[in-house]
Amino acid sequence: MNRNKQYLLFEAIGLVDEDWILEAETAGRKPAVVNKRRAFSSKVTWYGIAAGFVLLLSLYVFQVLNDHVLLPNEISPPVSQSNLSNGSETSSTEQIENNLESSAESIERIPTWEEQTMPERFPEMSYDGVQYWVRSTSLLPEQVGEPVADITASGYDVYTETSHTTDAQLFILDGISPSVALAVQYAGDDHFYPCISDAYFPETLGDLVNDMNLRENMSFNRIYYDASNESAYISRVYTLPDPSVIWDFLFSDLSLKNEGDAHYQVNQIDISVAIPVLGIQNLSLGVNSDNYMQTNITGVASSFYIGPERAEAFIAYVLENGILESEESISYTDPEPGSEEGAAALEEPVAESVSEAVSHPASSGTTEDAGSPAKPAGTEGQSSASRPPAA
Amino acid sequence: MEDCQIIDLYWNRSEAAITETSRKFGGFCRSIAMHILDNAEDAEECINDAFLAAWNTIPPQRPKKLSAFLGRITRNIALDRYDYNTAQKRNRQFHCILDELEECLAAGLDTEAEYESQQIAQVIRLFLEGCNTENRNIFLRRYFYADSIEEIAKRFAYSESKIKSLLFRMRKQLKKVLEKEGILL
Repeated sequence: MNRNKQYLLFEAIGLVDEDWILEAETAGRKPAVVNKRRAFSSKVTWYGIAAGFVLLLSLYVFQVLNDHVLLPNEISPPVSQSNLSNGSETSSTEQIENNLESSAESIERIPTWEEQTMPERFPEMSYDGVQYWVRSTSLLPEQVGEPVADITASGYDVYTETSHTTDAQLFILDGISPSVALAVQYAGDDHFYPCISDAYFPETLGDLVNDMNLRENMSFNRIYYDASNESAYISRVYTLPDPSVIWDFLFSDLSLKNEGDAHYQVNQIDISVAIPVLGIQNLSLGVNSDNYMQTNITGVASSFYIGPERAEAFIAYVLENGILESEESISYTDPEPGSEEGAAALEEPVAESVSEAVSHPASSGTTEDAGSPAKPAGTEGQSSASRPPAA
Repeated sequence: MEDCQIIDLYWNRSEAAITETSRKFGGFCRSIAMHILDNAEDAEECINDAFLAAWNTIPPQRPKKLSAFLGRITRNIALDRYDYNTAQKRNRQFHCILDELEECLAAGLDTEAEYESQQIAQVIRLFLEGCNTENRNIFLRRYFYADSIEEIAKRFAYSESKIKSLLFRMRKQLKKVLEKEGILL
């Protein structure tokens, strides 16, 4: 056994760059950025948990009384018709428990190898030193270009702890750079699926747009806007009558450098985007409070500095021109739960303080401006929420 | 206390340097030592030796990143200690890590050639440069910090099977790179 040589290798790994060692020291995966549907203040959540606990305690007490205090034939659990027809008398409680168990099982259970589709069985493959991950979306034949290579795809059966391989063929995905994604067809399967590189990192915004052919392939869905101050929180969902304005606001300077995850944080305004050819239905493209446009559509964080003028102009445009689909506002002033004052405080309209935050979105260095959001250069005389001039 | 302030204590030959080092980096060094040795007594001795080594090398050294500096020393001392320990006391998990690294070694090739760690480190650096950030971090968590697969899976929010697959592929790739660069161990 090459024990000394193993040590040599282990020692050599210890000599890698200090920056990498430090990076690995604190490395970990960021939580996925998801488009917010709803958000709740922590106080509302805690009140809900308390209420739920009281309810459960009441049910438990009732059950104890039912079992030990009341005579069994005075109260009997209801018997459903379906149970009678089965010839068994299953209580409704047991029925509910059975349903919950089966629901939980269906949510948590990983499909067996036999139940899985080909992309689920063989989700990863390697080509030219790059790892690709397969999405389950089927492609149309016209989306598939020339063949690239014959490869071997690998998979792992978690139940039997067995590795599997299968032959597959890689193709160009029409309009998409191979550095981003290819199409794969497994041996014995008629379908084509997109497989996405895990090494793709666009250096500039222009690379991102061109490599992924975003103007052809990407569509914009709902826009989520959250604002808060020390007393209230508001969450709004918009759609834009003409989503193409997003290109003008956020993609006008294609030379912007990709700064990766250095500035990645929770979005101030968040757009749900879809890229169906890559199997993407709902990923994030947004603007954060440091005036970066950021996105996770490549699978890793990308961020591009667009500056405060463009960031504020976009947010203002959405707030003034967007169609408001829904709104949720929560006041988190500090009443006693259950008190009259508390109930009244929660019912009070939040309009004034939160609307202030909504009308004058916070951005770095502009807290004292109580007027209209700053206009991009060259738009003087136009309305404050108009489209920016073409680049 | 900032790293530079602790390093100044070493340069001033103040014994507070060891106290502050232990306070700030004791847990970190202990984690590395325990991953390799899996024995609290051995790990404590290893850490004490590491702090002594730091005392003896600063000055003249003035490390830029104290945690990386101490991490390396701790790791090397723990490895020497692991080698010294009897077979019965060997840490099964670290044993697995060494076995995994054996996969990167070409079999049945020239065994007479001797390589310096630095030469191999250069090739490993080349290999890691070609990896994306997350894969590199996972590789280093396993083979620098000697984390278990379970710990790495939790840290990166992946399944253990995915981590195993990823490390398996990376070892295969490292082996190819070592062979290509003529490092035949």
